[in-house]
Amino acid sequence: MILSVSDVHFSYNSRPVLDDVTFHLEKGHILCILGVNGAGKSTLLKCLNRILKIQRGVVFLNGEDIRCLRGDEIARGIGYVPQRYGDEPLTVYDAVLLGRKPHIRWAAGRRDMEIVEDILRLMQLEAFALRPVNQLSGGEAQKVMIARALAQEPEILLLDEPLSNLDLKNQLEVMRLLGQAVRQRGLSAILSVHDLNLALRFADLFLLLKNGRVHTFAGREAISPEVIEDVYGVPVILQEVQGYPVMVALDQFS
Amino acid sequence: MDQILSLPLTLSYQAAIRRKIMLFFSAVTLLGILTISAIVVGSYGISLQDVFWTLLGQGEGAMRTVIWNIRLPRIFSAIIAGCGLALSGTVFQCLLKNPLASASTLGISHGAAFGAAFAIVVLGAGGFQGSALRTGAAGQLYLQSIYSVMIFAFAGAMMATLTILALARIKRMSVESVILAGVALSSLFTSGTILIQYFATDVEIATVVFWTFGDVARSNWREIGLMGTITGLALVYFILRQWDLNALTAGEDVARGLGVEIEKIRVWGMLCATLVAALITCFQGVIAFIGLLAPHIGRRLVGPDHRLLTPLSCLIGALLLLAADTSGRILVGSGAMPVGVITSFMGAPLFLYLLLRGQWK
Repeated sequence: MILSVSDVHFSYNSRPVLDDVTFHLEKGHILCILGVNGAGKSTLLKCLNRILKIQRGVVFLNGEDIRCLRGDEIARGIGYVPQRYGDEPLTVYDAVLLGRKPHIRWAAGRRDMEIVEDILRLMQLEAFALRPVNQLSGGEAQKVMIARALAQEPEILLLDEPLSNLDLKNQLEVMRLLGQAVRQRGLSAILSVHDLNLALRFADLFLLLKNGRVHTFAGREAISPEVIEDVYGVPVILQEVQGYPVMVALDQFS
Repeated sequence: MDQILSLPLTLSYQAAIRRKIMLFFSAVTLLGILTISAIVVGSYGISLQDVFWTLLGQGEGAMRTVIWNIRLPRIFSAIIAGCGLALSGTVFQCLLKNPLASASTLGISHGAAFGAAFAIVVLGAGGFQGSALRTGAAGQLYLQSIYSVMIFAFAGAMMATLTILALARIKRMSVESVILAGVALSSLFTSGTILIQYFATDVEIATVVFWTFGDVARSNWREIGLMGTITGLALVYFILRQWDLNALTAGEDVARGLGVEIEKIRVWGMLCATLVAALITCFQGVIAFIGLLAPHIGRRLVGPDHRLLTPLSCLIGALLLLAADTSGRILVGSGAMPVGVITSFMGAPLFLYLLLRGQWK
C-alpha cells in the first residue's frame, strides 16, 4: 500500500470541510475524487501532501507518517498539480527543471537534464521548451504542470481538477498522456474531476465525497446511477457507447 | 560533452543560458569601465595614468587623498548601495509576488525618514554652524550626532518591517494585503514626519530634508565595509535560496508542493532584504527607484529565473546608482547634487517606459 489515509479531519476557521476521511491506494492505480463543488475535493488533495495540515487523523506515505517527513521528502514521493496554473513567467524547460528541486542540492546535474528532456518528449512539449509558460495555451500549460510533477519522480501524482478550462480534445489528450505516464513509470495518481464520463473512462478507483465525508470508495463497478444521484442530487442514466461507460444527466426541472 | 549532445533540448537550453550569462559579464565589464570613469571624472583633474599609479600606492599626496578619501568611498558606496537596494527589491517582488514591492512601497524608506526626523528634531541631533556635514549650499547644516540619526533611521525601517511581518504572520494576510499595509504604514510614517517637522525649527527642518535626500557621498570606509558585508551575506543567502525563489515565482501551491517552507523563506527573506535596505537607507538616506527598477530591467534581460536574475539585478542596481551619481557630478559638480534626486528623475520616466512597453512582468 503506497498511500494510506485514516480518519482525516480538516476545518477552515472551525468550519469542518473534511471529516473522518479514510481510504488507501495501491501502486499503479488512478483514483478519481468526485463530488459537488465545495465537497472538499481540493482540500483533501492538499491534505495528502501537507500543503494543508490536517487537524486529526493520519496520512501514511509508504508506511511513514507525513507529519514526520521534511517538505522535500514528501515532494520526492508526491507530485502536485494545482488547480490554478499557467500564469508563471518561467520558460517551459525551467518550469519542468523546477520539478527537480526536491532532488537538487545546489545546481542541476546531467541526470536532472536527462529527466527533463525525457519528460518534455513524453508530454510532447519539445516545440515549446524555451517559451514562457504564460504564453502557452491552456492545454499546453496544463501539460507543463503535469511534466513538472513527473520531473519530481514521485510515486504518487495529485492533480486538482486537471481538466477544467480545457476543451474536449485537450481533456482527452491530457488524460491519455497522464494514463501513459502512470503506466510507463509505475506511478499512482489521484485526481479531482467534475467530468464523470472522463473519470469513468480513465480511472480505476473512485472516492465520492459528500459534505466532507466519504460516501463511496470503490471500483468502477460500484458507480451506479443511484450513487451518483445520491451524491450530486441529479438523476442520471448509465449507458455504454462503443465500449465506453457514459453517464447522462436527466433534466430534473422538466 | 558527447553525452550532452544526445540531449538536443538541453543543448538549446544551455545555449540560451550562455547568452544570458554573457549579459552578466557585459554588465561586469560596463561596471568596471564606469568605475574607472567615475574615478577620473570630477573637479580635480586626474588622468588614467594617475589613477593607475595611485591605486598601486605611487601617486602624489593630493591625488591619493582625492582618490582614496573622496572618490573611491563614493564609488564603492554607490556600487554597494545600488547592489543592496536592487537585491532587496528583487527579493521583495518575488516573496510578495508583486512587481511594485520595494523598500519605498513597504514603508521601509518612510520608516527610516521618520526615525531620522525623530532623532534630528526630538533628540536634537541636527543643528547649525560647526563642522559641515556637507559641502556647498548646505555647508552650515550639520548633524551633531550622526550615529543617533542612523540608529533611529534603522529602527524606523525595522519597525515598518516588523509591523508588516507581524500582520502577515499573526493575521495571515495575503501578499496583496501586505503591500496595502505597507502603503498605509508609509502614509502613517509620512504623517509622523510632517508632525515632527511642524514642531521643528527652520534649521531642523532643513536638516531633516537634507537627510532624506539620498546621497552616496556620506559614508566612510567603515560604514562601506559594514554595508558591503551585510549586502554580501544577504546575496549569498539568496543565491543559496535561488530554487526556493524560483518555486515561489511559479506560485505558492506549486512551491509548497515542491517542499518549500513558504512561511520560513518569507519571514527570513523579508528580514534579510529589509536589513539590507534599512542599513543602506540609514547610511545614505532615501534613494528611490533603484530597488523597483533594477529587478524589472533584469527580468527583461534574463527572465524570471533567480539563478541569473538575482546577481544581474544587483549589477544593474550598482550600474544605475553609479551612473546616476557620476552624471550628477558631471552636471553640477562634486558634492552638490544628491543622487536620490537624480535616481527619482531618471527612474520615473524609465519605469513609465517599461510600463508602456508592456513589460510589466
